[in-house]
Amino acid sequence: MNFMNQLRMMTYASLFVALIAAGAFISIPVGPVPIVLQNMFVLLAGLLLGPRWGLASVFIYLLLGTFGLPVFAGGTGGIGRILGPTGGYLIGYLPCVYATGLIARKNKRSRLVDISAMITGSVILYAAGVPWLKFATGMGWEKAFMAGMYPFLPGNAVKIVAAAFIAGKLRPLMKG
Amino acid sequence: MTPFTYRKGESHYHRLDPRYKLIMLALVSVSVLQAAFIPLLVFSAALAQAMVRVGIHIPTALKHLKFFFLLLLLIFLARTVSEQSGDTLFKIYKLQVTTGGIRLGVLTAWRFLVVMLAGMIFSRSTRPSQVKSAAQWFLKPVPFIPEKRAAVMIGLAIRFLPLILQQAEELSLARKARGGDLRKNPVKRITELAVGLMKKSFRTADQTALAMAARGFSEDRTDPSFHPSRLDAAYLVLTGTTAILLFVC
Repeated sequence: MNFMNQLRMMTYASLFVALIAAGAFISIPVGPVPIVLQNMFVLLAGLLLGPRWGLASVFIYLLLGTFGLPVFAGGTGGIGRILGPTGGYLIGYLPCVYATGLIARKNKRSRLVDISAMITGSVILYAAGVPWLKFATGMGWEKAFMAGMYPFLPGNAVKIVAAAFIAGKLRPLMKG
Repeated sequence: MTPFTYRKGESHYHRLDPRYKLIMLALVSVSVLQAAFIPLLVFSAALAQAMVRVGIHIPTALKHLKFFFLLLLLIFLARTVSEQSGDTLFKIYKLQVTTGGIRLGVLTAWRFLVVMLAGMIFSRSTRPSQVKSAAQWFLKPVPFIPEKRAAVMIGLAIRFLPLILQQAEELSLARKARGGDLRKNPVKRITELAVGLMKKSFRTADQTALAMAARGFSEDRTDPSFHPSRLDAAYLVLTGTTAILLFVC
């Protein structure tokens, strides 16, 4: 990768850090519940940046949050959030973005591949988040799934479909 | 300009060493999430004073945070219905709202708001280049992480964040003006906003990369130097004590 390409990828990755952080503040009212775009930007980072730069952008995002900057969902930050009940979802962003990027990169580009990559990423995210929630709060498995997964599945499905369309529209721009 | 944008000033907060400020912010963000009502009230008053000192106009800042308040409302509602202690106030279907639930809902939303406002004071009084330098200093001893590159990314992200929030607000208003709110399909609503926002942001990122290349950007730069003063130590001790009090009281 030449210097200019590397510089551009670094700038894009930084942009995704800001987008993921801004995603906590950008909500779109759909029916009575607003959809927050944060995890959609994580999935898009994997699709558009690939596994390595996607991972870098999520790592920097988590670092900013760990320092205490208000970049986590709900406008919070601090190591307390990483160690708290929802910390599993935050840490889970790392394998989620890597897997999404890896699947999207290794296969022929199509909307179906993008959607499969994002579904895999989301499964990994819940696989990290729900058990962490269970052990951090002491609730049972059923309650942990009820509180940490089931209510978010419809919104997630909408975001995955939207992200597949968005990725398709933005890829040509990234080729410069 | 959003309340998160850096603005030049002469306050103590502007003059503090960014490394100390980051440690102070981390201490506050951990302890506030454990704070009870009265300590939180006292801390909020101190925070409001600090906001004024760094030049944040509180009503304007609150106006900018209207989307955030929608989220706080959801957090309040979720916490309210999840707590069943105290007297029952009313019931909606299977959801029971109790005095204990309301208390917990208010406390949780308030804690989140305070953390966010502390972050706002930090970003208002700290240049992105200072955050970058401090992050580089903290990351230097960490193995396998290219601290200079990570620091540049942090600096860029902090510069992009207010820009993205401003663009999102403009796009949202433009969509409303064109009746975009009336669209029922959620996928189209998200796609329209996100594509518009990201196209603009990518253009900005491209221009930034070009500008950096044109100015001979290189990761191999001289390490930043810091000159902490007694003021930094005093603020750190004060914040540390406050954090302990918030944690235990």
